[in-house]
Amino acid sequence: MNAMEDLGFSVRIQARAEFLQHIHGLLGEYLHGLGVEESVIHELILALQEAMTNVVRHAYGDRKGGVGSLTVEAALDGSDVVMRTIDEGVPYDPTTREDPDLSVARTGGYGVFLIRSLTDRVEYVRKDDRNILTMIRKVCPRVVEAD
Amino acid sequence: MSLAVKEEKNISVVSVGCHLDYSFASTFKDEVLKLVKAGKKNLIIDLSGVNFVDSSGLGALVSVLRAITSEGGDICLCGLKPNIQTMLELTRLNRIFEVYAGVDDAVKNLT
Repeated sequence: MNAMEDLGFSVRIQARAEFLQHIHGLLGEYLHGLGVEESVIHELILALQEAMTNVVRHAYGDRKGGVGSLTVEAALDGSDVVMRTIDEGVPYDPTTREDPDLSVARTGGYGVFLIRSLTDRVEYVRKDDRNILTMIRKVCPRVVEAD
Repeated sequence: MSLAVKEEKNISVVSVGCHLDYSFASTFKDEVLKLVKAGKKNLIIDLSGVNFVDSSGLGALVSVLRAITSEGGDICLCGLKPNIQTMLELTRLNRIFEVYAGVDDAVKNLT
């Protein structure tokens, strides 16, 4: 059994922009409970937000009326936080996107750059007609001893 | 709507009171561009009520910056939380936006 099967949380929502903030709170509480530093919590929430937005925008095409399900998982695996988004939209591999030229101010294209910058590893697979994006970052959780 | 606009001297202070993310970035951009079209040339974007900005929010800010500078106007940001300041630095957008601690400082520098 791996860590994603016995730790953390898994939640399935309708992939709509207005629902994503609810996941922020869930992830924040989970990481806070692990004792992860606040600045790191914010960075992980931001990385997850960018991944979820890509699902809403690109995998389902919300601006053309598309919608579908989005599953978000997070778990601690050793000293790594593992976050995962799973959707059933059209194939969309953000890991193939090139980083933007930061010498020029842009109106778009920062999302995947932020995911890469705020995590240690990003992996994409297309499996059983689903996009699965996994983001991993080493953290220093506080060890909380039981009374 | 989580936007409030206040006129101070010849400056429009736009205060945002929610996340500046994918769900709100288009609305924010459209509303601020309306001000630019209405002839407002000096804008302060007060982000002191914003706890979270994502890449869509950044894109909206850059769109507004481009629009107002093309009209010969000026724009600055103020009230950034540390995590938002860090994000500007990460994307190097801190080099193109003037950032002030609060509205008063921003007004002083725009007048």
